[in-house]
Amino acid sequence: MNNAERAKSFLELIHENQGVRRDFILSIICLGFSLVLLLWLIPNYVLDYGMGGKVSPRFFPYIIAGSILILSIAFLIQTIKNEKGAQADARKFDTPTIICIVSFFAYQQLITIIGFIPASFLYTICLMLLYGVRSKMTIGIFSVILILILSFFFENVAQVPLPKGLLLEWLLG
Amino acid sequence: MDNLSIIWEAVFNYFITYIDNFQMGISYFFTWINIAAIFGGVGIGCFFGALPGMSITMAVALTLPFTFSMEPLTAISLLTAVYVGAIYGGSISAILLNTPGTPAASCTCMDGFKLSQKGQAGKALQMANWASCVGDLISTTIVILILPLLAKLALYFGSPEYFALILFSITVIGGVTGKSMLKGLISGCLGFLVATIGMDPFSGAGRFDFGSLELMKGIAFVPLLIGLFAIPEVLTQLNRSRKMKGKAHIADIETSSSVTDSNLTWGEFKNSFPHMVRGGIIGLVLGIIPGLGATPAAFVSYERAKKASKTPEQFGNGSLEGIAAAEAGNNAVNGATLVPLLTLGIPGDVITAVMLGAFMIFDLKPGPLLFVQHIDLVFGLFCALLMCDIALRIVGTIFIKYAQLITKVPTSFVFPAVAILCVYGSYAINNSVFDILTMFAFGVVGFIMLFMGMSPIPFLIAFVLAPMLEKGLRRSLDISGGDPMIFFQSPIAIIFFIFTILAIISLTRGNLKKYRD
Repeated sequence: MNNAERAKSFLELIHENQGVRRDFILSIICLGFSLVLLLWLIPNYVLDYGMGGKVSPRFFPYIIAGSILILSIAFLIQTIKNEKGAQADARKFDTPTIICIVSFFAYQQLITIIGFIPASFLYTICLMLLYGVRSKMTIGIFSVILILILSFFFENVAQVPLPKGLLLEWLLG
Repeated sequence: MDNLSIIWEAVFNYFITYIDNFQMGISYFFTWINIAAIFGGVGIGCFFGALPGMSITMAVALTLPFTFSMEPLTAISLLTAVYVGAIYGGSISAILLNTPGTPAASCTCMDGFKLSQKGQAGKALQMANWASCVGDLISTTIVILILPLLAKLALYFGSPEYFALILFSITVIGGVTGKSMLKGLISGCLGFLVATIGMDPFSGAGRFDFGSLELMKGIAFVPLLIGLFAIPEVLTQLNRSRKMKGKAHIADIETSSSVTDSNLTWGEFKNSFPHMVRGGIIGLVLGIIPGLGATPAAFVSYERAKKASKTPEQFGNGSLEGIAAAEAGNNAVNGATLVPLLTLGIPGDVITAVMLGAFMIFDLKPGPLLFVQHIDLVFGLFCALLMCDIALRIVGTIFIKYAQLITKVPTSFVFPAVAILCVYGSYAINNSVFDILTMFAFGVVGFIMLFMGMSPIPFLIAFVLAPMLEKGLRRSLDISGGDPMIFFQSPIAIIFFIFTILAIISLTRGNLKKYRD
């Protein structure tokens, strides 16, 4: 098989086999990331004051970035040479998963605005709905009990002050 | 005085000091709170271990936030008990559902489920419980006896030796975890990289902080741990629950029999006892080597038992001896993994990495100095380990009766509660909302890693080991004025470099063989 035929058969394999496609994407991402690290992130975002002959703070990140570069090239070669395909993981980035991921960050923002307990209560409801629970009564009772128990433990037993939120602080002046 | 009497005197003195320290440990450990922590921890572990989809790491990670307000010994005892309980709990779903609750229990499935189909689920669960206790007890007892001695040897480890040892550990862990060695090693490198975020330990210079004060402090361990191991499972179970019509349970396979037949006879126990002892020793040896853990211990112990058995044809068709060997092997790892952790401060697997995190929360640094500065804590922990075996026998027996109920727990209640618990736990460590963001961010990273077929385990262990690796590397080079030959002047370091090369060769050959097949 010449190089052109080999490239064509690999492209077909990428198209047909999800496992190989994911491996190929992963190796390219890692390769790109290691180059970004070596050429931009480490020189610009790791400060080096000059250590008087001692090892620089950039030394270890450079070694790690170099290792990622070498390993991702090896992984890319392994993926390209793979003619039999690979089994893909069953997990999916479907709509509920993406909604759930977005809601994680929305919840984190909500905590600072309306406070830890109300945000957690709302978030439990949101998650239960995402998980397919439809009974309003069940959702309500479960959410209230869960949040009450956890809040009681962390505030009163573990002595962790939970944030009240900007809204409450503003209302109380 | 001849040499023999000098040796005898040294051994005698060792044991006298040992007994004194043990008495100190007993008086430190035996409080109602510690005993309750052990029994409660084993119960929590059994519950989580029996639920397919809830890993041992997740059980320990979710328990960790509840320990912040506890005494160090109580907290570490609780985490150890959760670990011990979860390893045993994994066998419950393996026997009843043919679905191992933990990877280490996959070997138990082969015979456990066959017995379950024959209506002898109770017998299989009883054998699993006895074998777990005996295997763990053997391994723990040996560990307890030799650990103070090993801690003295650890004093010979300087910066080059630590560097070589960590390099070996991460190579083995990256190589054996997951399906691809290269993906495992990349995962480890990413863990090292994330650990460099924040202040440089030598100069205080900022690294990858992008001007953020929060990032300047570095990435906190607990949010990263919870994010990497619990959040991806919340997302995975969401994937799964959407596919199910109606109410999704944690396990959707019907059990094949009740667990009423639990009469394990003396003859059956006696026949299986040698396999339990052998499994205990195999688990001890494999558990000490960083990265191997409970799963290979179960399989090696099972294979050895099959060769030694008078009825090898029974193995795989419902053999009680097979269950005994597998369970003794995987549970014996519990105590053994504490050897590299307590003597050198190096976690051998992901659970001991969590334990190391717990030690750090309490400002304790595992290693040889722990045996000098906190000897009462070390011997208190030994007592906790032994108490775990007693608790496992009692709580495990109670659990057998209710095992089937656990598998009926609906995911739509468990995983929202897990997600909320993750948030409370991540916040509680530093009272920081930024840590919640960190936890969710690493949760998404963990999910993407799993989606791409990359294990997050090397990532976490590398994250924990990175400061030690960097200090070992930079301090050695600073001492030698930048000469890398310093790493080849120490016999211990050379041995670990040779081990690392051998591990790479063996793992590469294994990968190539798998690829050709």
